Amino acid sequence: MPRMRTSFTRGLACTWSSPLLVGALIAWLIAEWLVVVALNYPGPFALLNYISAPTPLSTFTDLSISLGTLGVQRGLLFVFGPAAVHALWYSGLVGLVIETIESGGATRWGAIRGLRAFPVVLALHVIGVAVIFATDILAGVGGLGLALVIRMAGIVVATWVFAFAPVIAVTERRRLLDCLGRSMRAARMPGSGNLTFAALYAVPVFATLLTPGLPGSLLGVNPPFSAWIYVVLMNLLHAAILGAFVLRYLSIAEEVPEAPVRAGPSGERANSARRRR
Amino acid sequence: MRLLHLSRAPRRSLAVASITVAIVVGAPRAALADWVQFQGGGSHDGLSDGPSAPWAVGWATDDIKLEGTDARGGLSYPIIAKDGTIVVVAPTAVLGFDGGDGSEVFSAERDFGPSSQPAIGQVPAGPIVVFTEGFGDSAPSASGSVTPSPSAGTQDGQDDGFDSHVNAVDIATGESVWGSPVQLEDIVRNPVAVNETTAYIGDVGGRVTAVNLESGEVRWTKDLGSPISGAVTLDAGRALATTFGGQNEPSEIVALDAESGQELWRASAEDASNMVTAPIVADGRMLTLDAFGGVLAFDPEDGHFLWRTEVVNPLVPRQPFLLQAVGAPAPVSADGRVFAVDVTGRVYAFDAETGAALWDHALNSLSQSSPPILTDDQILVSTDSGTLYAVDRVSGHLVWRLDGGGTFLRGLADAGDHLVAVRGLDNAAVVEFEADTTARLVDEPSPTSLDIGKLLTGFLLGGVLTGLVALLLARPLQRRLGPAPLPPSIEKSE
Repeated sequence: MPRMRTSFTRGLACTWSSPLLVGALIAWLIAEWLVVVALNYPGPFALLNYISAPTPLSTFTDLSISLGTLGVQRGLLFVFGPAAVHALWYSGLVGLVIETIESGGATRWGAIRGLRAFPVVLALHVIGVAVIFATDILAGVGGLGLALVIRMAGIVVATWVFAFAPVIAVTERRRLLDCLGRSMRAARMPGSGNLTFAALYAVPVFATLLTPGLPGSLLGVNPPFSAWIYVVLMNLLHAAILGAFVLRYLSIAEEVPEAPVRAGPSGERANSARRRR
Repeated sequence: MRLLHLSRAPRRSLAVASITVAIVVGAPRAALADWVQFQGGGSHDGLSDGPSAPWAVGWATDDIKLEGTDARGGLSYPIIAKDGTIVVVAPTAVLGFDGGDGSEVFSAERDFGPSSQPAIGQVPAGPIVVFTEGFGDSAPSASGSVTPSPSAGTQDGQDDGFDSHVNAVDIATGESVWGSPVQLEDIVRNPVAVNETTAYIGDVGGRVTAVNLESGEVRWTKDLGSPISGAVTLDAGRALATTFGGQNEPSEIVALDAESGQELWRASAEDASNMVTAPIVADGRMLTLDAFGGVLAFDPEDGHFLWRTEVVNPLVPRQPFLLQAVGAPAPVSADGRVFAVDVTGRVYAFDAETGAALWDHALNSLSQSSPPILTDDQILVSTDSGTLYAVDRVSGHLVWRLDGGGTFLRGLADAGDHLVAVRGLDNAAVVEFEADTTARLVDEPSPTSLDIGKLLTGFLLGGVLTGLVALLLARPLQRRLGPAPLPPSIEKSE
């Protein structure tokens, strides 16, 4: 598996150098913003930071848009509406990124190919909502300081184990559960540094959610240019990280075991088996 | 131009007439300088006939020294007596200030307790300040009480273990009025309410206590079973109290006979969360706010539910309206409109008849500590940043903002021809705002109103340019790095 720095540099160079990918990302941002404003979403604009991020980071955008347009009770019921829209975008993005990594450039066929990942990405959005609520409940028991740690840990672990699932869905056309299982096995491959990579990415991005005073973090529907710069840069960062995940998975795809490796009998059980023989 | 042709005598008459008119008009304004309890009067409607914006800061008393083991509670919201005297409660004192220049006119000791807003009542001997005191068993520090009060228990032979009382001082002298303070069974964080004869106090244990203003005797006590949210409201012979509710108790507005304490009716709404404000009676309706963002209207005669509208704020989706410590949020209403301000400083207007949303204005300045008040044409919002905002009641546009000179500006009170508020916590001050005839109003729509020109400018300058810069930087890098190093089988398969 490529080193973390190499993965990131390659991911950044491949994704940022594709006019189609960068253009699609910017076009999606303005289109989504106009739609949510038409639905009475009052801001903050900075929540769009996370729409190109893997779940559960992008789940914060799903929740914010849903609760921000429908209120708490109805918003929680319909959270999977924005989740489905974001899953559609992320699937297309995954397709574009895979194409840029494989061939050095993106075409619209890459985005269409990416739609194969839609069921997996939607399932990950559902899992993302579950992760956020589960960490919320645990946090409620543990207090404020522990809440932060629990939530951060939940996000890092979910990013780590599920980051490869959409890539697998697109490149290997596997079924949902197979994609999730294989993603976990790929993430846990010894010496890959996947957990560190996920933590180095997810923790600072999560910190931006809690940092006050960032551009676009107030209510308002006419974001200034500073907020646009911030949001576009953050989404480009997510695309670069996605590129890194794609590269890392494709490099080791053939080495990922097909089925979960079963633990051998424990020492004691093995000895008793030998004695019986 | 015509004035130039008038003879000297009529001009003199005109001057005399003008002065007379000024005195006649001015006198009632001075007389109206009474804001004797939470949001002005017993109905807590927050209606001010004082000046609208623009204002300037007149004076501020920055030299108030707060005592007590924990002075972070700061000063209570101010109240204003008919003679213009400003009264606030500090952690260990009741303080009076001259309405003209802010100089201290009296100071009375008070048992260390939450800085809950007092009220001014009228007894035959003159006006008195009724206030609550004591932290119960939960003072911020073990060395809690700085000025141990003569509790009722020591005088009546009862157990004096719990430190929570109602007390009263003469506004002219600062001397104690009642023989001894009235013992309460729980802490009070809500403002005191008064009518002509009685003071009403709602405590965190859910009791409403009515105390005779003249004698300090308890008239009646009613246990409502759940903490009381905000001040008791006095309207048409009724004492109205909001219960916060709990796991097994609903959140309700309970109407009691103000004279006897007998329960008359209870009002609640099915989809309401915990109600966090006093029942505000204004414009023919009884209004309150709930924690989930509900603005509720009831019929004040029988508690019949009229409507509930929920505000939605993505910054605080679960608790737009907050009841914390001695902060007392409240809606306001006049001329067929209901107004509310959430904790992020977003102002909402609703149709009073139907509850339909009319406009909102995001001030983007936290307002967690204070209710708004209404002038003839503006809604005034004090904020935690210390800025005082005025929003036009009809258009919802911001018309004025003024830095109050410190943080946590709160408790706006109408002092006749000027406004008074408090600011700061342990660095407390009373600040006066006076009309500024030289300043001009502004006209700013809410940042939540779409301005397509502004939006596209930001998008082109920020979004598109950032994308172009990223492309320009990454393309040479990609050329230098060449194709991604993938296993041959992957490259072949594609």
